[in-house]
Amino acid sequence: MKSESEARRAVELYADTVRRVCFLHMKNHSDVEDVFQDVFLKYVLRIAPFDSYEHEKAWLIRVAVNACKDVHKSFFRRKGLSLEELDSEPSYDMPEDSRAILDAVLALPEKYRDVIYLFYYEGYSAVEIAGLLGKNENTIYTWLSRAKGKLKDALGGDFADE
Amino acid sequence: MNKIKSAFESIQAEDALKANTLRFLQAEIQKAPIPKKRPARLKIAFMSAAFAALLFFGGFSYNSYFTTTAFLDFDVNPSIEISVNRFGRVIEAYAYNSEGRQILSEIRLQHKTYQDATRLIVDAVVADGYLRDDAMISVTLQTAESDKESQILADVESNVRLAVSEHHITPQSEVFAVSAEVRNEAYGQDISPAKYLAILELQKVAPAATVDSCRDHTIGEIRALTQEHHDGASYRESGEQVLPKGDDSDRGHHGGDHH
Repeated sequence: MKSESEARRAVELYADTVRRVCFLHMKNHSDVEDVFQDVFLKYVLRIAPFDSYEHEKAWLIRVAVNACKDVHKSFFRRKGLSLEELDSEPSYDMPEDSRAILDAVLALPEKYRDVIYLFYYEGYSAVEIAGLLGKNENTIYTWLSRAKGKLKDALGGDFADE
Repeated sequence: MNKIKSAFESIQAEDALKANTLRFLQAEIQKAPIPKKRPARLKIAFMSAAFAALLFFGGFSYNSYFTTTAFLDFDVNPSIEISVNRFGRVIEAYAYNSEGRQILSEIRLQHKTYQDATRLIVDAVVADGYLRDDAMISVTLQTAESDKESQILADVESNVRLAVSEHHITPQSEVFAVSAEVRNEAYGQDISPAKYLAILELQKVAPAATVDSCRDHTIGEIRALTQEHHDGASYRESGEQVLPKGDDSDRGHHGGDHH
């Protein structure tokens, strides 16, 4: 088990990354807390060392994506626990065009959201995303292409411009 | 900065979320006597009540709960064995190798149903990158309760399929029963029954193959080598290693750990 200082370092370094993954999948804040606890507890319990900062970050993203999927798979979520939905995501202050972009990303099928985030925000290549998500490279290329198409339809052709 | 990157930049972890997570981790690290996790709402209460009722009406006793009636062995290359009681609950988990220990450090299996444990194990081996489209998962069952054998096999098979389908991967999978003799012999060699049987098959065509030369390799690799020998590939009788060593030193054999 890692030390408190290592746990603190991980939370400081990666909390925003895990939060963005949660943003893509979670609709209420209590689920986000569950995912945060799961992800960072797995980090603390991990015995094997990481090869590099990049390896550590990629591992945390993968664990976070799977933790979010686990929440969706849980019995009560499948059955629909309506009271939970009352504890909704906080609203973020951001420019209108940023909000439109995030709304368009959230409107994508769930599997496309991860690849858009990993490609455009984290800067991973399709090959790296395939390794990170445990998917075939061609699958990622397909998802990326379809996701870009849907964003283009929603936002116009310049959504990824500098 | 592209517009998407700029938009995502607005999403940041709230200070309270980070503080709560840190408090939880500190408690976990210090083994403070507080709940490890925020209670999972009604689910835990419901399951606890149902389980308590089951135990009460089923004439529960300590011995019957902690008596193993079935062994389920999972081999991807992380190799894990779970011991299951008559109630279908996991009472012990054992890792045959370092990869298995890594998986067991990430998930909690004790007292879970074998169906849930199956999904958790598959989820973890996928999350850690061991089980992909080109890999294989072998699960064996050994139980003296022959009336439950076919049901357990069917349950495990369906849960493996469910778990891999949720990750959108299609690895090879196999689920089958083994005898107590095979399971005990494999356990004595510190490998899973499926790997033990794969090595026996290899030894038929490559007699110099040993458990030690094969234990760090996946069942798929061992079977591929067996097939090569069947197809007439030459086999070195010189006593050198039967399979090429993996390039990851962490894959070396380690004694298993009980969890």
